[in-house]
Amino acid sequence: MKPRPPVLLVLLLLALRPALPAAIADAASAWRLGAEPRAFTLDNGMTVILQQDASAPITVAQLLVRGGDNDDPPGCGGLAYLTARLGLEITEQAGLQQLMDFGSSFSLAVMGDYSLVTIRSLSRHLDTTLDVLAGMMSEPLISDLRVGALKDLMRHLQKMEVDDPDTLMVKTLAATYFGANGYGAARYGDEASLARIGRKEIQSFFRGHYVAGNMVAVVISDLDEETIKPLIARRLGKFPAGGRPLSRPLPPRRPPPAVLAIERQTAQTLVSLSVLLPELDGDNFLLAALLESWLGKGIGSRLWPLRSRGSLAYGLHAELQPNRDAMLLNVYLKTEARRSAEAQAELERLLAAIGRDGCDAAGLESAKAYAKADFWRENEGRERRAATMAFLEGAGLSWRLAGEFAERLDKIGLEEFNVFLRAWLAPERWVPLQIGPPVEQANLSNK
Amino acid sequence: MISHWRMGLPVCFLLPMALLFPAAAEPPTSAYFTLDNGLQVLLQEKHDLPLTGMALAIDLGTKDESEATSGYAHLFEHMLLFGSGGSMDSEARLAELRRHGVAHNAHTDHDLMTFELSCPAAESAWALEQMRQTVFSGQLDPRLLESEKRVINEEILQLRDDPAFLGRLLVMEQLFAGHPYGRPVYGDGRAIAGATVEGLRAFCAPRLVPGNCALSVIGDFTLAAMEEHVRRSWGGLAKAAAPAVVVPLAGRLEKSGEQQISLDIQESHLFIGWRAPDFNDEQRLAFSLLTHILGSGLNPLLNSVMRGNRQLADRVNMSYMPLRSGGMAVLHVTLKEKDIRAAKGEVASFMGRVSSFNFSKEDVLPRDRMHVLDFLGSAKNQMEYGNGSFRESTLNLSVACSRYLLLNRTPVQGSYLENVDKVSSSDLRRAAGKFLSGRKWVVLAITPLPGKAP
Repeated sequence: MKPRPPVLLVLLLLALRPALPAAIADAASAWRLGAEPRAFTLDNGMTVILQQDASAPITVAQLLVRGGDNDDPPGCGGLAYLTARLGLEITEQAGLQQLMDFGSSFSLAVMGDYSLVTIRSLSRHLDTTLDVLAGMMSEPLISDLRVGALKDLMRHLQKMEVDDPDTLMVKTLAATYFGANGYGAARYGDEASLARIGRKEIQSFFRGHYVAGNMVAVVISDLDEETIKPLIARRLGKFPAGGRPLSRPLPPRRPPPAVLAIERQTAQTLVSLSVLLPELDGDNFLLAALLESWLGKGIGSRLWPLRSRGSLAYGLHAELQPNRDAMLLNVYLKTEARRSAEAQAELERLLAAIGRDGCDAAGLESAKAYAKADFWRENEGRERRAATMAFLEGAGLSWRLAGEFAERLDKIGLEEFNVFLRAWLAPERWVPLQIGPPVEQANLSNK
Repeated sequence: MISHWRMGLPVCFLLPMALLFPAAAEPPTSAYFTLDNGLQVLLQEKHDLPLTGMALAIDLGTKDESEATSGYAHLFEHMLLFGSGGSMDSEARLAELRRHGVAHNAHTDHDLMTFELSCPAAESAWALEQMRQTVFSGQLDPRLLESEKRVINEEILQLRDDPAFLGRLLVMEQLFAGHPYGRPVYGDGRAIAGATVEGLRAFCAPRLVPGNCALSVIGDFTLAAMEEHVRRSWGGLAKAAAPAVVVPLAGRLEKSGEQQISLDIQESHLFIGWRAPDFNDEQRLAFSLLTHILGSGLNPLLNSVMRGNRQLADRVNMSYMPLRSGGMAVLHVTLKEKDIRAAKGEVASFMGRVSSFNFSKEDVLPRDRMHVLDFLGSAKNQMEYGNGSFRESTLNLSVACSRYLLLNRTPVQGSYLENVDKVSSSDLRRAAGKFLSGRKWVVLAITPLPGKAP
């Protein structure tokens, strides 16, 4: 049994606390991303994270629902998106007029494990904005007419997804690893899945996922806590209570084919190598984020020699998909079609060397310095900062990781990083994909 | 001579107002001054995160080129950004920047070249010196030149595969045909292929003088310390005169044009471009609000027009780019190929009426106001939100400030938002009448390759 501290000493320390030097106070708090947020739970069970940011009279609210592509039932690809989008269909002209008058706006992003609704408002109009949007989201009008119109929108989004090689790459790889279900489910569905989805499926998904205990709200505003807390409780308290649904088991991963190729009549070929990383937890996320930054974020990354020495591409990228059950890392570039084979060989050679040789001490320190500053840069604006905190909390990593990112990154040791690299970046684990003209045709067109 | 003025709000738009209110009891958080060598400098403290953003705008762009030097400014920007600086070679310099957590980039457009850098606040002084070396001490390496020519070729190919970018590029070329803004920033390939280090230097070096530049540094530092760093690092640059370049105002488009091209895509894209107010035109703010009302935000007017009963479009967006000697407004519609003709007709008909539109509740009798959407009020609120959001990034803000210092030629009274607030519904109608209603346009359709549409 631990001895209890003397009460008088505790009181004395508490009394002296305001007088402690700032440096000591700072050392006690690891939060380094603006003002330290406060977290609380609404009566209906919704987790709310609130950060004050007085730099502008605007408010961003990110509402995360744990329910994304991976939660679409088998054969019902697109259900998570359709349900989330229905909740944002404005049912009353008066509501639309209010949002327009106030200059408020909203958007939706559906990812592998969650759906994220971004609400933007001038702070003086926050109450009404949240009232209208939370009202719509908590009680969507699920009519055949609306569902039909949204399916048309999704058909358009399917085409846009195919037209953008970067998105097509992510979609193709997810389907390659996970099949047509789970993370491989088509975000905007396909003709067969859209035909299968009706009001019953949407209602079931809505009732299971759009409950307060399955949601996280992150609000960043200049409004003080006394003003905004009751407002949030009043508006977000509209969502029904209820806990998280059971997680859908991930379908077995499929052995990827040796080479993936999609034919497109483009001037350039997208050349990518992708690799599955471990499941998402705090340590793995930090290691993967550091790897992503070190490999291919910004000028001078580890991929840079492909440009500086080989002139193979204008941009070089590493992009992490932080799925809960298996993170996915895509490394890619776009090169003149006739050089695609050369680019692929060079990319494979470089990544093999990285997997084999690992990182040295100087490289690790440099990677950390860049990754920390880049994390701050990416989260300088409140919209992205709130999304980051919502994602971390929604994924079970805790919103606090956003403020402790730099400190936690600093603790990663060279051995730990290299063990991670060698375990996950072995050459046989990479899956190549090319999107562009067939090689023979590319050679002909460039002669 | 260095003077300080107190500035507490977004400096890029408040600069002229700040000059009217010198001195204040509390310590200043912003400063604007000109070094003896002519470099304009703007500093602003911003302590939200431990970051500093800095940008150097140079009055050098595509507008300065001729047919023989087409693409030189952009190529020169690449050479400086990726070249060696000081005693380090290119790769060592880039590695050193990363070791200090620095992200850097550069952009060239028709008017200006901008070098941008973001760093942890603790590295501000070091990074400031690096930026000076990058731009003013860069050595032009012939091997790098050949390498960057190939990289720029990749850049051009990448942009040509992207319908959204390609559409704007081609509309701009047509809209300003015969004017310096009609030349592509990336060049036409021929001039770049023959470019030499000597040729690049002869073209760019005379324009690369402090008096032709504006530096903006915004972030987590103290004003006095940063001013000292700037003076020490940048004050030694020699003063020199830059060649005078006069780019004529673009004026009205005399003839409409239409073009259609095909790419391997599934959705079609329709672009319609109009000439619009230049950066210093008194109608710039009114036109900017008009663009918001017509084609951005929650439910813009053109969205109702195109996606109403006839469902002619899947997505609608309108943007406005004010340049020093002209402006461009572009409507981008994503739609099915079969709807292109009808969509064009709908836009023509709507734009013909827009100069008589009621944008505000003030335009109708009080008894009818309940049923009228306040488009103008909505757009002002959107711009206020956008302004607040934009100010959050030290890098965005520093880039905007440095560009403003070189582009602005009009003394403006009051802050940006105060001026936005003054715009009336009649101002919007006037702007619509002058630049959109019945005006010549450029139309570009990008459609799926024949036989490849789904």
